[in-house]
Amino acid sequence: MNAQIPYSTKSSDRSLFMIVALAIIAIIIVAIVSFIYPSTFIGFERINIESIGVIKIQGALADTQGFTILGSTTGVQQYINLIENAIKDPSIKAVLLYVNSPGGTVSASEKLFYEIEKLAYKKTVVAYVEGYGASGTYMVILPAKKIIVSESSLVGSVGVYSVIINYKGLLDKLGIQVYTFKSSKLKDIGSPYRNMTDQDKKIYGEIIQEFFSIFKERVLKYRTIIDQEVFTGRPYTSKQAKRVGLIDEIGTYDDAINITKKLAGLPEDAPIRVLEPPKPSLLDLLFRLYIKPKIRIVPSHEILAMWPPPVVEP
Amino acid sequence: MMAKHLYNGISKIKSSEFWKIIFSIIGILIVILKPRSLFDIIRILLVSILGIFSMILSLTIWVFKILGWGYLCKLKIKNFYCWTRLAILIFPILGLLAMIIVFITVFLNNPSYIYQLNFDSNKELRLILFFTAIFFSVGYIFESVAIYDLSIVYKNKTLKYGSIMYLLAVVISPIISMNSTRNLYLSILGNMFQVVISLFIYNGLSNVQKTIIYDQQYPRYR
Repeated sequence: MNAQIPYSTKSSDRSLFMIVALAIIAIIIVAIVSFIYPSTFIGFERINIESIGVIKIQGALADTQGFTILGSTTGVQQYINLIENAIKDPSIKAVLLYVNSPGGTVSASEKLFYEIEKLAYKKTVVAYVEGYGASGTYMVILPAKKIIVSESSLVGSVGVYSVIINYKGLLDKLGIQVYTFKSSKLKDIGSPYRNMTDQDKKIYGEIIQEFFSIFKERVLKYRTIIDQEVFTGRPYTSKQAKRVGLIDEIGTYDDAINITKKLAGLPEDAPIRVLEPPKPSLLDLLFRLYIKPKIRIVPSHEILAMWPPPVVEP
Repeated sequence: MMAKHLYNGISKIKSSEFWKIIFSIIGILIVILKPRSLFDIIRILLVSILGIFSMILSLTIWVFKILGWGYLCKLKIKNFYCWTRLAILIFPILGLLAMIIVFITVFLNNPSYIYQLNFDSNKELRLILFFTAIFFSVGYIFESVAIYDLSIVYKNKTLKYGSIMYLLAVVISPIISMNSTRNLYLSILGNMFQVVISLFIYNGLSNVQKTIIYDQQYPRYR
């Protein structure tokens, strides 16, 4: 049983090292090619892990978070951060904007509008209104591929305005005199301590008209409006809004999700991710509690794209 | 004594191939169970457990390989087996070091990268995969060639086909490792191919082991 077969000398150490060297060269070439041209070897269908991101836009829109005449306002920066994250995240293929907001300041609404325009350029965006989707908020959701509204919502109110309270009469009655020193006659335009001149009113009217025409242009860019009454600033119920061309569909949140999936080419079981701002830290909570104002602050001549109008509370 | 070394060596390499089969199956399971969102807690938990298990397995496979080729090196049949053991020992460590260094560099340059590991658009992260793939592969190239040599010595066709497939798989491994993050089918296919290769090698080594047991085919020492 000791029939040993002589060890094959066919493959010497040298030839084995040669094979190893060739294989290493081959692997480096393959690695370089797949590094430079990552898509060269991709020929298979991907397993779908793409999802829908839901961003909730709620409350009056303002540049900063806090309490103003608009009530409790939401700083648009937190929405902008969420939108930027959605743009960067490759797993989010579509974004559903869940909206319940009366609008807010023109500048805040515009900031958010630009961001959503950017988002819509890169991903499928659908807006769903439940409650209010009026004025500035309507401007914000214009770039969406589809605007879906729940049955009992109010949309539209395309327009801008500014509320200026004048105390001149009251101050005169009380015998209070206010002296204003100004470099030129229009520097204190809109001051509550003097009556408005015709020139002041004309200037204010021009400002409002200019902002309104920008809003109107945006509406006409994204929507086919059937009735010019839309630009009177009136709000519309869901059915009326569909008739005049302000919205695309009336439906539920689930309908909106399904439509978004369909438009983005996602399967029915595609996951939904609610994108939320980071939770405040304990320090934030304590700090906010401390600075929380007791009364609402009246903004000075803020130009608003908001409906219903805010009420001043003492 | 020499026959014992040979038997033990092949036995250890066989064990490494067995665990490799389990490792590849776990790899497939991880891809299938991959969580679809951050809220998919059960899947995240399952994948984490499987991930830890596969890390332990890869360490086990590595140790078995070093031991196996260490025994064959002791036979002094060929210096190449000793080089194989050395390559298997050193290159994965170098790969791991390269990975850590690049990761730290990337993190120091921009800490937010860690939170958004996007291998598709991020060149630095692709570079991590590039170096890791190269370093890890060199040790396996040595091993596949050494197994091929064993198949010639023992005239074992199954082992020969297994080693050729092994070499081929190692050469194309950068494609899989650099694209597996975005092409999950490719990752599953890679793991399935690995199971087939390991089955071939396991079977081939079992036949070689039998010939050693019956002492019918035993190489002479130089």
